[in-house]
Amino acid sequence: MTFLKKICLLLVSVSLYADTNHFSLIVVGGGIAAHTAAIYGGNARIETAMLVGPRPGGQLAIAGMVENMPGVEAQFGMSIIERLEKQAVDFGATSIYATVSSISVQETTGEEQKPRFTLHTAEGIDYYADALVIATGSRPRTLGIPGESEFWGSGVSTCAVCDCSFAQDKDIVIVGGGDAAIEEALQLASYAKNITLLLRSKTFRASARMQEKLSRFSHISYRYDVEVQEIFGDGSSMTGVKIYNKVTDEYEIINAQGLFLAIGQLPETAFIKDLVHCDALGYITLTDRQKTSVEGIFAAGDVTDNRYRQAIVASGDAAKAALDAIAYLRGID
Amino acid sequence: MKIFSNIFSWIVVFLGLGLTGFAGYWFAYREKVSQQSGYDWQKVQKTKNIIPVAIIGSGPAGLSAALYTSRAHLHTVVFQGPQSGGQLMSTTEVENWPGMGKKQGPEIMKSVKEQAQHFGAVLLNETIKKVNFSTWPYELTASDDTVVHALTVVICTGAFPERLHNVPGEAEHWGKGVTACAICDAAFFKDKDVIVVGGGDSAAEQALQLTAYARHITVLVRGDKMRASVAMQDRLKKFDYIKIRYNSSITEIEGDGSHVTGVKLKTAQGAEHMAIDGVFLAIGHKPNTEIFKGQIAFTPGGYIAHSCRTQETSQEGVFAAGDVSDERYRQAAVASGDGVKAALDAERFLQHIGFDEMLAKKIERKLYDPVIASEAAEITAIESMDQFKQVVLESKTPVIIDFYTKFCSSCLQMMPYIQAIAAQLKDKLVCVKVDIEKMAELKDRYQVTTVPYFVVVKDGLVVGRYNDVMTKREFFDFASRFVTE
Repeated sequence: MTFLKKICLLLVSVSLYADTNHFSLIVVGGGIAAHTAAIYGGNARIETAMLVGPRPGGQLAIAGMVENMPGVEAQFGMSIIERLEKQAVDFGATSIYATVSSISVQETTGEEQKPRFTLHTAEGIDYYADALVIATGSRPRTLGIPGESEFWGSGVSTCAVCDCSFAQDKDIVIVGGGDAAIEEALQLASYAKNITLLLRSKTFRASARMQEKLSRFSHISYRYDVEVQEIFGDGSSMTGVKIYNKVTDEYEIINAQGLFLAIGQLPETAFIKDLVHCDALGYITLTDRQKTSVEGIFAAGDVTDNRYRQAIVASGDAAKAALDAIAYLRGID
Repeated sequence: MKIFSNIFSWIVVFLGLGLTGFAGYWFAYREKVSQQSGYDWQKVQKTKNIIPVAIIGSGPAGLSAALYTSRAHLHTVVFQGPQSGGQLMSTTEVENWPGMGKKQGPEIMKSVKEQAQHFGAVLLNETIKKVNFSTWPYELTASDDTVVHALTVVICTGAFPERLHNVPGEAEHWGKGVTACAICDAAFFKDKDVIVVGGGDSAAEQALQLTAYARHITVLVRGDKMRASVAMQDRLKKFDYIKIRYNSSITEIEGDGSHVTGVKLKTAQGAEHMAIDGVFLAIGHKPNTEIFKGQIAFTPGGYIAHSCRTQETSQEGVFAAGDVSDERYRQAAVASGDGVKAALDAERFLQHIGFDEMLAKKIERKLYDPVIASEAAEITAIESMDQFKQVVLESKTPVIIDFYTKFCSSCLQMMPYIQAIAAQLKDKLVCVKVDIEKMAELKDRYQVTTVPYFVVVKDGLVVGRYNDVMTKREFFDFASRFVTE
């Protein structure tokens, strides 16, 4: 009986939503920040949908083992995401696999004073919302050189944690000079045969403490003032890189079966950068609390955060963004 | 030949002078740097009871911060204060902790606590009663009058909701129908009748948050009008199931000990009884900030002020997170996220003022770690082969053998750590010591060439070795590797 009731309810709600595709709150993104916002939206009984992109997960999904989420025992990032998705759906939020390509704002008059947002998706379906939480995160920056896309996933990687076992007894190059590059090197040190760090300038941007950690390893070496020009291989796997030294004006071939990128992140803001204000690096600028430059649009997670980049921080800030959005929708801001 | 040897000796002299000069310059430079920045490392090295990261408070913010700093190998001490675990300990079911599903509040705090301890954070039951941020390292006085010196401080002392005074049944039903958080608990009052106590914006907000769930909402206002803004009051009027009652207050809360069933009211018309399922208090929160008065800046509301996007307070090197610095959200998940921000800010600050592994090693013996003093296990000395067979070879748990001589100062220096960690890992691991001068047979058996030398034996077989001095942390990591859960 209750089962039938549930089916009926589901059908009714699906048909209602399918008719209008209208939700009070739409969360754009599919990582931990988006899921937390959806949990809070659903918990407050606000009609909430999450447009997760091609599939949910975000950076946590490729993070391998996660052991520093407070209150969550060590486990794979993807299983945390699965639990979050269940939590959000249990609270009544809808998870939709759609990628937002652009957003337009209608200034409505009369009864409804609030701007209403139309979200255009790559799938061709439009969704409508009274408030938005943007939590699209960021993705690793790439070099854009020949061979990079060809060997992506078969030699070129951005995640040492995920791919360290692949580096077993191989020669590896790491591109970057910040803390992230050293973290990758430490991660790979016990696997790789040789590691060469390729730095664009004369010095590390990484902290001295991080650099000191590397000094213990004799199989880690450096090339300064270099840029990677080409990644080449034998068709199926990479065999080496060509680097160019700007100071000595010399080329060098380094044999390597793996290349790890640690040159920073690109926030996913292409679809919204003409609408809300973003900083020079492309991160969404927050005005007050989790508000953006457009009323009714809130943001949280790595798409706004170039400083901490931690799952639990994204989650905490997403809770704030959702509560800000709820207060805005209920007019108690 | 003579000339050559002269030149050679001159070279040595020059090199020596050069080196001395360089070292002198280096030390002078370091001192200059430390004086310029106001962070005097010379002073730190002469100070006792040092804590690189001191965390005051042990709610979600404090323990999440501790998890991060201890995982970064910074010696972290948490002064838990009167309520270990914070406000979540008095809540029951928590549904919105990210990634956890439904869990009991105390259960969540227990797992965060275990995570922090797993990475080496020291959790103490002391309360900090006095702080002095005018001198660095910052002076903290604990309730047992111990004075500790913190290189950075993370304040997570939380806040407590104002409660009803002299109302029988209120304390009894706290967390069981009486609560102060509509966002957290609204879902438990679906189609139920609730009361919101208070007349300010926060009372109106709680009532509006409850509209999505409750059947009837009564707002009890003590005076004859609400302090909430007119706009807020207008919004309340839109809901026909919200009723505002003026000149009214609760005199008693009734229930069966696990649920609230009704309240007794005092109104302008006299005493009255009302059947009710829940009471939401919106009569304010009080951040726990007494000990910080005059030391750092507060917001107009009395909360600790911090910069907009980080957890930095008005005092460099002091950070705040959680409800003590958050008058808006008051959510465990938010406190946890901000606690991690504060931890990362503190790590960054320590790096910025030049705290590195070298300095950490230098001050290691000056660190405040009462666990070493209080929880020291007796380390058995192996003095015969019979005893060796019985204690080491026949042990059911792994055994770490510490080979030493009585003239080895670094061996003696490590002994307190070994005692502390043996106590921490008792029942899972045994530590014994062997004086290689007395037990040459064992020295040869395990090919010990230097001291200190550690051999780990499990089921009679060697499963690990290490032949250098270790810090407490390193020894803990080393020992933990052989412990099977």
